[in-house]
Amino acid sequence: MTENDKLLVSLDNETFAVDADAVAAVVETERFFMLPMLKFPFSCPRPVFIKGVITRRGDVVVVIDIGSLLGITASPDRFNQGQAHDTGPYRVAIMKKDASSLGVYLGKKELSFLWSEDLKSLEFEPSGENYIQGLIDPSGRKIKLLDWQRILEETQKAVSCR
Amino acid sequence: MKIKVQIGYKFILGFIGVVFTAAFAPAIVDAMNIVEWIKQPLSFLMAILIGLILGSIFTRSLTKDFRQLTSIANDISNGDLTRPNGIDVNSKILQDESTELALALNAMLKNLKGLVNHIKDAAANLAEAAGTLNTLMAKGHKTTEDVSTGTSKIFEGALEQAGHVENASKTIKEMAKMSDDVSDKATDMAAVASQTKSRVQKAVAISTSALKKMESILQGVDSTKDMVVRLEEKINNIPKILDVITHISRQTDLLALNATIEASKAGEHGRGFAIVAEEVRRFADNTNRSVEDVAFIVKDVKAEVERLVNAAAESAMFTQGGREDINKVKGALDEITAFTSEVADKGAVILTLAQKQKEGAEEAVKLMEQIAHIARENVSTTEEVDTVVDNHRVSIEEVLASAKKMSELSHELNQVVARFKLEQGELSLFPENEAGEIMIAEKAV
Repeated sequence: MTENDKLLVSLDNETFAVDADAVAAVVETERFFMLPMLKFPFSCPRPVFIKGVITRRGDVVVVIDIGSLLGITASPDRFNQGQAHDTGPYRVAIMKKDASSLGVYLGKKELSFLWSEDLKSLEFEPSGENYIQGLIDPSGRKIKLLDWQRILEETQKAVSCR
Repeated sequence: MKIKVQIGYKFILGFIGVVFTAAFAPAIVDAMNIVEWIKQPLSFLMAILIGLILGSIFTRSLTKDFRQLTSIANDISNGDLTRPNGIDVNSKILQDESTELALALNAMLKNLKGLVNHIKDAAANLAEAAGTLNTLMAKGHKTTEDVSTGTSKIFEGALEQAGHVENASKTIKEMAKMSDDVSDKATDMAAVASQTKSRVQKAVAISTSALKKMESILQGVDSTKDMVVRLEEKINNIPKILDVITHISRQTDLLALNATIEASKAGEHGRGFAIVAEEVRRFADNTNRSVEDVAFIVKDVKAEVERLVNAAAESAMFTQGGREDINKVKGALDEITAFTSEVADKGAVILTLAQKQKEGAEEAVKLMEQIAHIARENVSTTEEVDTVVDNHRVSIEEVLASAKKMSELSHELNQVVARFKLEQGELSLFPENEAGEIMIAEKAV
């Protein structure tokens, strides 16, 4: 897993990484389509981290916001699409595995690559944090490797919650 | 029967009678039978008796005549001329000298009556004349007094007039002097006005050229404003282009990202391509950043241009205002030019009028001199007239006095004549009124 190239997303003071193989594409979208608001029972949490859905090549992709998922940045209000400074076309990284896709809201955040060659020289420390597989270069940049499949599952659960 | 016998003869006859009687008395007595011793005294007595008788008769008639005559003379002396016929001479049988005297007295009485009548008439006329003269003299006196008063007044008036004329002459001299001053001042004013006029004309010329320059400045500002507006429009186009560039670079970035992802999926073989794609991404990032910088710069430029536009608009406004002000100034200067021209003209007119006034005043001075001269002559003439009138008045007064005297005399005459009674029932011919003046009375005939 850690051998492959990683796509790095800088988020305020934190840096997250995902497998580059899993990334189908990075697209720009003008808007997110709202999910129909179902009457959520008390047991199901409100999916505030879901920014909405977009379509890509005929597929419907659910887009999530890492910041609100991990509780780093302030949860956006139901009526607030995102942070105040995010306007215009939004960048979304689409993770695809087989038939399921997940959109990761990137906004204007900086993207960079971490090549596998560079990875070899960096330590990897597994982590038990939610949705974090592990910590790359714990003594340096502290890049958090996202467990996107788990995020996908959560999202599916949240979307189809009864 | 009128037999004229002189009184002497009558006397002689009488005497003869007496003698006769005396002579014949003894004869008579002798014839009478009386005692001797009575005969002589008796004859004496008879002669005396007859003598007495004849004497008394004669004397009585004589004295009667004389008494009559005396009474008449007395009457005449008392002024009573009323006997119509004087002495009645026809009643006497024997007329003698007394008759002649009576006739003469009658004649005298008649003549005296006539004379007195004449005198009375004359006195009446005189009194009338005196009265008229008095009246006329009184009138004349009054008239003379009036004339005298009048001439005195004229004299006073002439003096006053002379005084006034002196004052008027002084005043006119002062006026002449003042009009001289006015004339000088008017000349000065005319000079100043013409100077002002030329200066104002210069000022008008300067302001006109200033206005033209202002006009050109305004036009320059207007064109600058237009240029700046066009510049603004052009600058407004830049952001659009920047947007396009940004869009392109973003798309490029996205594409490069995707390319990198795909290249990484290709594994080893995609490395080179991945690197190239990364370069492209970086390039796109740079472009973005550059575009941002350019956008900032454009923003600044836009702000500056906007400021420029505002400043140009402001200055255009100011220049417009300035142009209006210059126009106003020009208008005012034009008015001043017109006004100073008018003033210059009026000054010239005033100068002419002042000259005329001066001439007029000089003429007036001369006329006043003449009038003063005439007034002075007037005064002296009036003085003479006054003297003459005074003399006249004195003469009149003398005449009046004479008239008065005349009336007094006529009055005296009247009084004298009034003593004569001409007709019965006449008390006085000329009764006098209380004033002592003689009235012309009507005769009670």
